[in-house]
Amino acid sequence: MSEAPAGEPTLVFELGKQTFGVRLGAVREISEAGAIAPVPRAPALIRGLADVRGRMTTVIDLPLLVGAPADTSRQGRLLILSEPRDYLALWTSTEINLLELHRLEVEVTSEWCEGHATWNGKQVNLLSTDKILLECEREVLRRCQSR
Amino acid sequence: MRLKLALSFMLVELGFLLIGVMFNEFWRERTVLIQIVEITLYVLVGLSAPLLFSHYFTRDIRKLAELASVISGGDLTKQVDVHSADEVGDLARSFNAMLASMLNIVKEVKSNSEEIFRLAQTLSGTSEEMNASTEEISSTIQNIARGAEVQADMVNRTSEITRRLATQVEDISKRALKADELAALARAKAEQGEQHARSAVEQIQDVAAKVERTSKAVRQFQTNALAINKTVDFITSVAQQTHLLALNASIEAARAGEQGRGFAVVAEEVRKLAENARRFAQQISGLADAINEGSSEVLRSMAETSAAGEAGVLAVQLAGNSLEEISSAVLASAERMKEISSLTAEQARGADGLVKAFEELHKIAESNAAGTQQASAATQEQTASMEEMAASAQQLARTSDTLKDLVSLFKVES
Repeated sequence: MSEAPAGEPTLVFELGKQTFGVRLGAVREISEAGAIAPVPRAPALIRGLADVRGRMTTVIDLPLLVGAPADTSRQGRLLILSEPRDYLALWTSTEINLLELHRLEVEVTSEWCEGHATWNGKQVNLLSTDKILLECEREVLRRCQSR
Repeated sequence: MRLKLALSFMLVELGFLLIGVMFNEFWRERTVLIQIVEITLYVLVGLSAPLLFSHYFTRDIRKLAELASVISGGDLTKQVDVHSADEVGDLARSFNAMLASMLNIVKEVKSNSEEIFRLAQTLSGTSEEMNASTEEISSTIQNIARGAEVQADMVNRTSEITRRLATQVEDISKRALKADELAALARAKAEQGEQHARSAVEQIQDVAAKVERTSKAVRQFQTNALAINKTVDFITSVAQQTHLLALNASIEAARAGEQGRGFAVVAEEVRKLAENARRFAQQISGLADAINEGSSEVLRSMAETSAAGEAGVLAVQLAGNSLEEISSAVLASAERMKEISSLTAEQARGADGLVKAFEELHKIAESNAAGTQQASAATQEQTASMEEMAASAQQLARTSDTLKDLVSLFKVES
């Protein structure tokens, strides 16, 4: 790993039939998801609020966001985003691996993605935390407008 | 008649005398004419006198002749009407007497022959009736004879059946005795079976106790396997936490840039170790699960064995009870067999008596048949006699009929 050509370290996990990745730089830490308190009247995308070492963190349901089958398991992990977005965490129950991936020079097809890579012959959708945040804000706005 | 004849001759002589005298007196000179007249008178007297006299004399005789001719025609009712006192009168009277006598005889014969004819007819009718009756009797007797033969045959057959029955009854008696022996044997076997059943119960109970002990051991084993699972769960949890820590360490190392490189390698090694530990823990967990499942299987199987053993004990106990019941039933049946044996022996004796009685009956029936056959023959003979008699009666009737016809030729009533 030390001598490997500079691939980008990426946290990779599978959701449904798709494989997703988040740049290591975008994540501050990974922690076990303890109790998540649901937020009343919040969009379904917001799984709830979690206490991470005394900090109130908003948990985004990643399987729901990418359109994977709903995951009702209580056991899960939180990818707590780096500053200044460390008040946000992405929730997933699948196994997380640390890999070094090379970004492909292809056109981005998903709206919350910033690029694509391959791993074991599978396409990895690299998630953009900015776009996810935007999506969440749009969702909140929609709910506000509809109200 | 003789008198009459004499008188008539005397009259003719007197006539001739008269004529001669007359002519001699009156016609002395006799002329030829006178002579012719004289001769003519002579001739006349001579011719007419015999005619007249003969006619007179034969009148009664002619009457008789007429009557005789009537009688010859069969008429006996007429009488001759002659009252002269001469021979012809005698003849006529005798004739009348004879006729009367004949008439009487013929009348008698006629009435008798009619009587005979009637009697003969009656006889013929009666004999025919008798003949018919005799034939009926004959056929009845023949029927009786046939019946008697059938009876004799039936008696014979019944006798045969009874004989067979007697043989069978003896056979039954023997078999009953044999069955008694077999029952004793069966009883001994049943008692032996009872003993075996008791021993089987003991053995099965022993096996059940052993299975129970083994079950306890296996349950302990299962508890231990579950304890292993708990331990493994703890190890897995530690491995996962270590894995997470390693990931976070990697993140920190990446953030530190070039200074964090060495640390990143260590973090990666730790992550791999954690991964391996987790995998092995899962393997151990799978093995413990398999052990747990296997012991559950063993326990289930042992429970089944235990239940089967209990059922077996119950079944064998039931079998023992059944054998006991069989034993007593066999004893009872042996008693019955003895009774049957003695009863059948008695029955056999009775049947023998019956056979003898049937033989006697058979003899009687045969004798009956023979007797009726004899009677039949006798009636047949009688029938023949009757037929002969009827023929004779008919012959008699015919004969009397002929006689009647003959007699009817005579007319006896005017």
